[in-house]
Amino acid sequence: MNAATAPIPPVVPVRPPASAARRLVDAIGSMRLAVWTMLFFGVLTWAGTLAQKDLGLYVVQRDFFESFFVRWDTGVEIADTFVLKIPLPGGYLLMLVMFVNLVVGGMLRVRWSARNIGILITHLGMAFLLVAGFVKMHYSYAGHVALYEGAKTSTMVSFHDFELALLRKDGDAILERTVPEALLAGSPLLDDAALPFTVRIGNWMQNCEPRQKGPMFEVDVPVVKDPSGAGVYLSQMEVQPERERNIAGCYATVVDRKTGAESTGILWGADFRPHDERRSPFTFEADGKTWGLDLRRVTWDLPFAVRLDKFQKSDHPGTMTPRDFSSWVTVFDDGAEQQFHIYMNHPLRREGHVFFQTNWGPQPGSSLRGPPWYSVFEVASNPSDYWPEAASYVILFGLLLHFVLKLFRYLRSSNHNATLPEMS
Amino acid sequence: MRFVYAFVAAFVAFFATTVAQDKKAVNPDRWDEATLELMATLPVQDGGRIKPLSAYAAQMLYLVHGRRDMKLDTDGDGKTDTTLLPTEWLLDVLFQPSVAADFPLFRIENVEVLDAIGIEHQSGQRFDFDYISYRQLVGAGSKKQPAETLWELASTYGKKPTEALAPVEAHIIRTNQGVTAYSTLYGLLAPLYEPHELVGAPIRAIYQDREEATFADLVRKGSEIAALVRKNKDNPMDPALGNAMSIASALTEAAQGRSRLAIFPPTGVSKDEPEWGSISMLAESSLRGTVTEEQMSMLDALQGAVSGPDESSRMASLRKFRNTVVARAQLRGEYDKVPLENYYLAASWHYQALHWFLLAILVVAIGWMAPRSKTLWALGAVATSIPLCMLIGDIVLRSIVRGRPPILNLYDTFLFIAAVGVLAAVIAELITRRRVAIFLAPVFGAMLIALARAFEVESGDDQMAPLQAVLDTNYYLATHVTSINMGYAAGMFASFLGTAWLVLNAIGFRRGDEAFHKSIVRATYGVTAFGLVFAVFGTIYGGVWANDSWGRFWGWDPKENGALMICIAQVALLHARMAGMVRDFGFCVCAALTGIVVAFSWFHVNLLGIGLHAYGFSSATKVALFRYYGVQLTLTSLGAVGVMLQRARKPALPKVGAAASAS
Amino acid sequence: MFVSCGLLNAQFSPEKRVSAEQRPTDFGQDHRQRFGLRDMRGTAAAQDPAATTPGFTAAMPAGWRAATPSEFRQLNWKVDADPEAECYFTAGNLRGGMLANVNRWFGQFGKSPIQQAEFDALPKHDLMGKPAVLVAIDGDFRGMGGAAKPGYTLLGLIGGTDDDMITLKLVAKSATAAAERERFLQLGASIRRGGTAVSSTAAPSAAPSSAPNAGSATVGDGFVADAPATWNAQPTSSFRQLNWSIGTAGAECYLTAGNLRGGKLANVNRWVSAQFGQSALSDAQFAALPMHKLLGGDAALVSVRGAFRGMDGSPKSDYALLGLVGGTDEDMVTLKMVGPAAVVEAERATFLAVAASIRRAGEPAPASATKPSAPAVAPAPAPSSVDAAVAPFAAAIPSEWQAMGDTGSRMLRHRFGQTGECYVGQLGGELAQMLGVWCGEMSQPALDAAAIAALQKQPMLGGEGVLLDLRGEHRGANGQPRAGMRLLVAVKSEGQGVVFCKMLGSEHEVEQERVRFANYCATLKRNDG
Repeated sequence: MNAATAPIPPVVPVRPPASAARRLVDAIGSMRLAVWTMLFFGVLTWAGTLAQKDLGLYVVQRDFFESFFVRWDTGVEIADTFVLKIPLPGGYLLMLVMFVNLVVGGMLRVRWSARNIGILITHLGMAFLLVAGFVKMHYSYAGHVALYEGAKTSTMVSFHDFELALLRKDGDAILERTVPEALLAGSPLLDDAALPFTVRIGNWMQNCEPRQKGPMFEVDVPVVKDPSGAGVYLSQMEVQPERERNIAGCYATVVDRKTGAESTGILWGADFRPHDERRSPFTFEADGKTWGLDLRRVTWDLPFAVRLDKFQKSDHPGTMTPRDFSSWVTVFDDGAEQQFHIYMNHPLRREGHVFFQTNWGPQPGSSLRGPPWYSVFEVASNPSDYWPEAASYVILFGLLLHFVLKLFRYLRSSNHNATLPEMS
Repeated sequence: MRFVYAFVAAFVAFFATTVAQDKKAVNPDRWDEATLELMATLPVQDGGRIKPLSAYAAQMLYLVHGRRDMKLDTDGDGKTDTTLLPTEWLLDVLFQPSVAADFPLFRIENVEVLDAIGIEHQSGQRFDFDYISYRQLVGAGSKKQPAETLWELASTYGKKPTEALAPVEAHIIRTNQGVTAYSTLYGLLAPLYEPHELVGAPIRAIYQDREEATFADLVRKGSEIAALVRKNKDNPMDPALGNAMSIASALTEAAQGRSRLAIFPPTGVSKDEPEWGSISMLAESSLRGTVTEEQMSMLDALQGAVSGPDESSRMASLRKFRNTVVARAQLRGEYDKVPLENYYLAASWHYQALHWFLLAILVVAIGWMAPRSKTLWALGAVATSIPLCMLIGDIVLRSIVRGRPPILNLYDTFLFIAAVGVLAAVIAELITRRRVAIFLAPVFGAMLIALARAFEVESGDDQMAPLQAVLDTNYYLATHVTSINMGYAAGMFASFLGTAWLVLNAIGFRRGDEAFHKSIVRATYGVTAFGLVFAVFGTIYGGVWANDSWGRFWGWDPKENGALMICIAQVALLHARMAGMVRDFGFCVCAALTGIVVAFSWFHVNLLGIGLHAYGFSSATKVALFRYYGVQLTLTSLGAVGVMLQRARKPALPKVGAAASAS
Repeated sequence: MFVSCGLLNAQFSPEKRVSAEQRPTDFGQDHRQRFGLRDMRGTAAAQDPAATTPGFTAAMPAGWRAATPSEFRQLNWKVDADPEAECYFTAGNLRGGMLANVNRWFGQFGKSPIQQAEFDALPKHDLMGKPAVLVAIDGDFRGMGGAAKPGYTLLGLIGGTDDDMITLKLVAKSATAAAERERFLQLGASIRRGGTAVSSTAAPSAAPSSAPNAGSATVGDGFVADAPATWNAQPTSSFRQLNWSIGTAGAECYLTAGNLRGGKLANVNRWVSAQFGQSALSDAQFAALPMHKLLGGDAALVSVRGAFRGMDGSPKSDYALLGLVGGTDEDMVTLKMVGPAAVVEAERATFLAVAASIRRAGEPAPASATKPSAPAVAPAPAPSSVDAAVAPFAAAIPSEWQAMGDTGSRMLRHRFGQTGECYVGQLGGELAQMLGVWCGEMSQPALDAAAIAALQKQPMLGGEGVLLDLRGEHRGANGQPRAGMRLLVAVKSEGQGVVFCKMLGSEHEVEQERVRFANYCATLKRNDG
């Protein structure tokens, strides 16, 4: 900080007029770009925080932070007619720009000198952190496992996302093929030459409930008749900001390739785990085989099975403040059994999956009452699980190095002593 | 110069005596120092933890009285002549309730409240605030009791949403909460007061023909009374039974009663038997014949303290009760930190630090009169360092009492941020020696301690309450929480410095002394850099904790976003300066505004009521927060305009920060 | 752009093979079964007028008759005293919101609609265990297309939510409506989903002489059974109204009622041939099967042993099945135990005992039931001997409640929900005085004589007590007042004192337990000897 008198060596040395490519690289790596990116990122974060109140976390995360652009609906009305909407660059775009800017400007083009060693290390850590975020976003998945005491499972299901599953029984196995939720909303035609039928998805609803049709009202969606004569339809419900509270549904029309026969069924994504994990798909016959179509929470198979042996919750004496939630589980893996204790801040890490104690039940107010208890684990699979932690140490080291060195340089400089006020 | 020293000395003396007076205040009527000392360290179980009686008393006095002590005017001359400390007050409430009923207890700030509940008052007078006593509230008479009216009104208003409450309505609800809490305290030892007359042969046979029995006597023979009832269950109305049945129901009623403060430690190991017993619980156990000898002797002693024949025997019993409880608590390993917590409360170092900070402001201000005096400069630094040490001591004591890292709740953040901010300022001052940081330091410290105390009264909670399950990790509390708060502290203090630069330049203070102004900018830069290190590490490490506890590193939760915004603001600020996008003026404006970002992250995100970190909040906090935003924005913009006007007026003045760019 | 292309080309992922155990799947169900939608056109009602549609049940008031339910009248009654009076209960089929429906009723009387504020201000009464708005309209009634009938009254209870509304409506001559008003309100309170209605007026003499033992009763979806502790109650589903797992080898036993189609023989043959691959039974063979008791009727006992193929299709060798098939072809009840043959054989006697003990929720245990576990007695005596004398009570304890162990003053003490507690106590003192104490606990003024006389009645101890129902802030004994609490005390004077049942908990939780509490009080009796 010898700014007052000593000339500052410019970070980017002044050069004779450079080529357009050179200027582009300069711009990409410039500190101005860094500042503007960060300012936008700050505003975006602020907007995304406020918007959570109305939109809920999931939507904000998707629209603000994992997007390229967002139009922030501030909810502020101008002259009672016009709602103020501010366009902002999305988090994905900003982080991408930040990464490129950081690598080009903060690591490649910055002068590699002892003076800048802290800066370089810090930027390296930041870049690593952004990479960790990128890997997390694209290569991780998370869901949950909910188990009653004594129950065992080796599947985990998503909290939020649905998938369409085409199921066929084959001996003691189920053959399944899936389509992710994102593709279903556009009423796609699922036409796979290997299948003896096509499937048309329609009337996608983010939150809905099947109901029986009565004679005294009409509905504007198809009504599906059961053999018993009862009509069932999907009733649209208000979409909740808490994404996990929505239950998606749609209609599926199956057309047999040979006979041209059509049958329509309702698919509904409700999940009743841990009370009931059985699924009952919309069933139809084609090519002499029985098929099922099921809309379900995205389901992953774990490389091992888990059984909940015991769940325990304790409060501080004389109060209702929880002191501890604990689950004891047994992991079954290739014939071996192993016991684990999962509790707050002490997850189980195994084969790329991490089990966290996240919830329990039956919760007060539910129609079921405990015991027996069930325990809910959030399960995450994230290749970059430990990267941010490593990045944090690198960044801390870099920052400390930089500022401590800088402080020493400043204190040693004659400049500093010269400007100190005289005191008698 | 001598004059200045004398002035400072006089002030020190003044403050020392006021603080000392605070400690000496004792009600000479009943409780001697020794008894008070003993009773203050009586352990009780409340709110999920073991605490000294003094802590319980302080919390209750806060709740009902809104103050840490109670000023009494015993001779009616309109001047305070006795100040009751919490333990003293609580002992009065418990052991001489009729005296305590006359204490001026409930603070009424709005005369309409008195009108609404039907308490007479002198009209026409300017009404600032007044205290009314419990007796005034429950006063007998033909009219309805004011307490009853208060309750009815409070329950009506309680149905309204908080935002819709008129001030007087909110006041009534709050007063009613105080009265409710107080009446529970008031009845805590109630079963022990009245002796029970024994009528009829069967019940007298149990008590060796005595005519009277105390509550403790009933408890001692609880199982025999129960057996008597059992034997006569078929003819409970038999006159030969005398009042055995009503004696039995007295016990039953006590068992269901409100004497629920847990003051009797059980005999077992604390791990297996964590819950302490209350008077009600003892009554319950006595019917089942499961009261232990030790608990019985504790109850006997307590009974003796209430109904002993004379004052000295009552006092002796009270001490015996206390010592028995302490002995058991020690065996259970629950007493270790009780005396320390009591000392912590009594010493109240942070409160003393508040006084010293105010003094330090004065010392530094005086130092400005003699800019070249190194002695005065050093004196200012020392005057700031003394309360800083007290504050750090306070925080360390809190940590030891709880066996936890320094920050567990919002109250802790005030003290911690005060300490870190002041420390950063002292360091900045040692480097720059311009007397700006050292002036701002005590202002900053005093402000935050005052805020902490206001927050404590406002929340009315035990600020040492045990932790929620998810927070139960000393490792992350020590790393993430501590460093993120250091980030807050530095961000806040940098904002102070930036604002100071703007204001000083705007008013033309030391115009032309460029080195002076430059040094403030440097201090701002240094503190920001200091803050950045901790904010970044704290934020990322928060993610590491979240990854361990919730399964994801980052979730765009409001509190996480708040922390991120601080990091972004600080990084952007430093980069902008390096890139030459801002010079001294722009740098200080931005640094000043960073305070708003810090406040947003520190408090505002909690007010949004969403996310995993949302804690409950009162509207008072919200008001205070928006006031801060207003003040900070006003100061910054006025300062900025002022600086621009100065520059326009004095074009000849060397352009502020002209030479500054990246450094 | 590429997004829309992606939509057109949406494809299934490659095929993946998963074990059926990992994806328990029920193929072949129709929509109503899949979504657990109840049959709204009950057939049972026609056969048994006292009972009602499978969906809902109610305690029919004295002097009323059940009428045939229809799609719009899930429950339907006639009043003996007034042939023109009609009363019916409608659930789930109404659209347009509560206010709109109430205004439709006003329209039927030629009155102008009311505003939301007026609607909100209407009094509340219990309907299906939740507060519902009570509407009373007098005037000329124009029903469905008929001529106006003067001097009519409509009493309506409307509850639930705008999306899922329930209404109970009585339309009758004003005199009839006035006379039947109380019964109408009681009826509303007694309506329940599934199972048997809670009868708030049930005479205590009807209380079971051997109250179901809380320790051994398994409560399922509308059914209760006494099962030994070795049977682990499992969550119920729409196909398993009672569900247990037995041992660790995968044996299970479950009750299915009302949801099966195709007749009794077809179902038995599904077990015998589809699941065990053995030759199907003929009519004659079926008729020759031994009979056992199931849900108060006779049921055929089927016993199969061999290789078993369950829903998931995986074969299991040396399995056995014991099945009881009862009811009618249309309304079938089955109790089925499947598992390794050794387990099934060992549990055979228990299976039959459990079968005999099954009853609809709320009904007393059948007298003939052989208890598979400890004999039913009043709650296990607490450690203290005083309880046996001071607490000589028994009551039907809802199995949702958790026993807490009695204390000297709190008998039959149970907890529910998170914070709730319920117990029986007795104290010396007058009724009014005691009511005052409880009012004080809830920080409310004591009741005067008129208010006491107006208290709701609650049957208990073979007579009638009063029910105190207070909400608000409970002045807890621990120094912290708790807001949002609700206190229910049913109290009856006895000699110089009172006996009372007290329930305290958060408003929400007490609301959920209110009906069980009423039942608990109604079945409270002295445990003489």
